[in-house]
Amino acid sequence: MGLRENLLTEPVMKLAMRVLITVRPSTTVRQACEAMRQAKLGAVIVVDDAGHPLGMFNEKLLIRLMAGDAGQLDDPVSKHMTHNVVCMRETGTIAQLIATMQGRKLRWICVVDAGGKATALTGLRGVMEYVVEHHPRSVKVQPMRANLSMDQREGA
Amino acid sequence: MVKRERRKPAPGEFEDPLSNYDPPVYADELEESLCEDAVTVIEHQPFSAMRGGQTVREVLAHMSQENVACVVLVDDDNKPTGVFSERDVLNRVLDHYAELADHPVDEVMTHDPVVVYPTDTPARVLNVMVTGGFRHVPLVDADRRLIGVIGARRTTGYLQRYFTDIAGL
Repeated sequence: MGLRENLLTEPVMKLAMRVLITVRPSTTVRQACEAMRQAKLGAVIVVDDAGHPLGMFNEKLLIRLMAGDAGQLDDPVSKHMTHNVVCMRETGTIAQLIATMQGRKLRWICVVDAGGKATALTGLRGVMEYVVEHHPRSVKVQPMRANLSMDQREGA
Repeated sequence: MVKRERRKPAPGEFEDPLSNYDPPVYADELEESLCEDAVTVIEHQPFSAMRGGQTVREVLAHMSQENVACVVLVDDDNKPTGVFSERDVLNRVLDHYAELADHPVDEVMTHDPVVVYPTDTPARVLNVMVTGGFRHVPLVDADRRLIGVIGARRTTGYLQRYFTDIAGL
């Protein structure tokens, strides 16, 4: 089966997933960023007491905040989060996920189970890791750093 | 795949070194494009580039205004010297923003970025992003002058092109 076929038929759960980091609405932006940094992840999900997602805070919002007034970094994260959290069932196809992300300019998709509970986070990177994982012979053989020409002339 | 018998050449006869070559077989056109096309089939413009020496504050304002996730810093010759991205802000700038705001961005950017050339394949860009962990890769010409930037969104857009004809997507 080719890569195109795989993307069209394989379910979202085959993608590389990130562990979901959740914070409470009262957490400060600074604390949320610290959690992101420790997890090496670009986004946190803000949840209510019952664990339902309320919103998301990500690196893009952080830039916007810092370019404005850096004093806002101590505000509660609920004040600056985006409510635009798009969730998808883990049984949807990868092609649907790509179409959703491209159509709505999203970087992250929250993966939910049958009960609507958020289980993991995936996104553009998850898709790329999927391609690399399924085609290591084409992709991983590529050089990391390569020069078109030599810096110095060979020979005398 | 049929394995061909290698015929022994007669003495003095020219042997074509490619006579035994089997070209790679691809399952579909997306895989073929991944390995055979030039990386320029992926959208790589517009992009955001700035001269080095600007302050962190200026670069952040630029990123926020232009709504970009990464800025390539170039020297006078338009050759990339570094990349400043959202992750650099999170990791290096956030905690020391008050002190760093008026320092040149060169202090906190990622130096000596991995670049790709127009003759590389899309597979190479994927490898740089996934294995190397870089979200944005500058595209440079043979003289190492910046001509574009390829990021995760654009790469995913390239994959998407191969199934836009499917209904419901």
